[in-house]
Amino acid sequence: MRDEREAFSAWARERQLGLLRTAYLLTGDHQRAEDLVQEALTKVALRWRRLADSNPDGYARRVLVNDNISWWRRRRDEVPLENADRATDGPLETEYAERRLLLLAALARLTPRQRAVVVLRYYDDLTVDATAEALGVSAGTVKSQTNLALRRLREAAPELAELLKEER
Amino acid sequence: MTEHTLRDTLNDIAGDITGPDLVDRAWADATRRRRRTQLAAVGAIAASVAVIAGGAAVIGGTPDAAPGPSHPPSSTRSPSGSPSPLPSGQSQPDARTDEGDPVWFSPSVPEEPSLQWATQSVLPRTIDAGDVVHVGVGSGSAVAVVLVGDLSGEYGPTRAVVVDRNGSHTALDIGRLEPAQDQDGNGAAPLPAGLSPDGRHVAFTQNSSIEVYEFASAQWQSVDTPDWLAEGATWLDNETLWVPDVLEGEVGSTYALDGRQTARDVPKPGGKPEDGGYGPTKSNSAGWHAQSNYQVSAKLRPRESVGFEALVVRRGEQRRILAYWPPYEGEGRGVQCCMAVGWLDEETVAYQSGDRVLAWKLGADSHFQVAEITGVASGDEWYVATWADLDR
Repeated sequence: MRDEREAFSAWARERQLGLLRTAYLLTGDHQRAEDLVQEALTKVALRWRRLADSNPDGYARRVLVNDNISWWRRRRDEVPLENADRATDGPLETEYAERRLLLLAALARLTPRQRAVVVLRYYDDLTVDATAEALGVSAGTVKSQTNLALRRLREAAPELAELLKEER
Repeated sequence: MTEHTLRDTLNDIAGDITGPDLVDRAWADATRRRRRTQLAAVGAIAASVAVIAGGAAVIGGTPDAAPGPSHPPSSTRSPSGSPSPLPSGQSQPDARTDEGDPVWFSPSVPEEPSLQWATQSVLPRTIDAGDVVHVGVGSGSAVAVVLVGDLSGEYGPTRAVVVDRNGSHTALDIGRLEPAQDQDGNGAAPLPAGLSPDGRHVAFTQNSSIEVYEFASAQWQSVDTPDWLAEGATWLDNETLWVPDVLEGEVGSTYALDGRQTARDVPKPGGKPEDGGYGPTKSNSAGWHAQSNYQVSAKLRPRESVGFEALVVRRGEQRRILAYWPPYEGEGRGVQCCMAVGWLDEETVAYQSGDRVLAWKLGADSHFQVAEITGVASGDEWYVATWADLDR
């Protein structure tokens, strides 16, 4: 048992920050991201014997995505679409800061699954197949959801396109 | 927005995120969940619980509608209808474990209400755990006791419903019970040992004792135990309780119901549990032992194993596996979802799936409804159920 705990702890300490950042991008809410990661790590710990030699990263990521979707389903009538953390207390310092806020707001307008597709593919750099495995859908669905999500992002935040144009 | 800029911006957003170390708490939570379900003979949790809410100790519950694999072909599942005898005959297994043991798949949760009813069960089809007006001793023994309330919280259980072999429901006065905790101060359901095999006694754990109620005499007896160890108690036989020397230990002491310690260094009843086993081990007269297990692997596709919650039934070297569908990769069922309930006869084993008790005929694709637990306020109350031997 001690060896198991040590092995789990070593894996979890290495991965928890990455999972937290993924969870934050999935939710836009720091506290909920922490809750998701806490639960994901606990579920991995529960099944560590089996997962240790397979793919604990993939399992943890799947828990993050599924639990977030489940949470959203329970709360979708309660949560305004713009419920992302937004540091709006002061003037925007840079165009980068503005872009971050715009993107967070735009992400909040996606469905949880579309948002997960964007985060897993463009932040976690997962392949289409790995994203499909994490979401429990087909590769074709990932591709179509990716296209749809990107289109929605552009529609939700046309300012981003303008920003990008100015950078070129 | 180009994909490159999207990546940069996502990395820019995430790069500022830091958080506390969650690792030790995750291990502790996992250990606590595993221990509670292993020791507590917990039935089901009445309501779905938000698993992200403050690390709530979820040990079962209604699964969320997360995506999962489609169900495999089912050959003999029967639609609802009039009761019929259990069919005989075996069927080919649906899969094999990595060790080669045969595996059959359970019905999925949506399929459960349409299963035909088992006819040989002593349980009533409906176990109403709601408020029972009649308080009494029933027939002197019970087949099931359902404890309801704020089981892991500060208020503790609020009622206990006793079901006897005639299907009568009576309320047991549990006013003497205090909310129980484990050594870390976490609330714990006070029913680990539960009903004795013959159903004549029910044992409730407290922090430093086991409170035993005898149905025939309507008398309580108190068995003092070392602090915190009652959580690991189980029945050695109808008149003897076994308490571990340390939680999760395999050796302990035995106590008579009058409180006397009768022996020390006694191995845990049922022998050393299998890796991943949880909940009670239920045995029958044919020598089969059934216990649920949260880490069974089965080959669904060539060279690819998938993890399942499962009911593992063993006799000597023989093992028969009922894998709870869907596999946990799809998060279709809660962790440690489904406890063994008991045996309806020598070849039909019952288990709990959410609020239902179902049965499976060993080695066959034959599945039945046995009972449904109702009357618990979803979201407000939790319950645990304990079962006497059903094949007496």
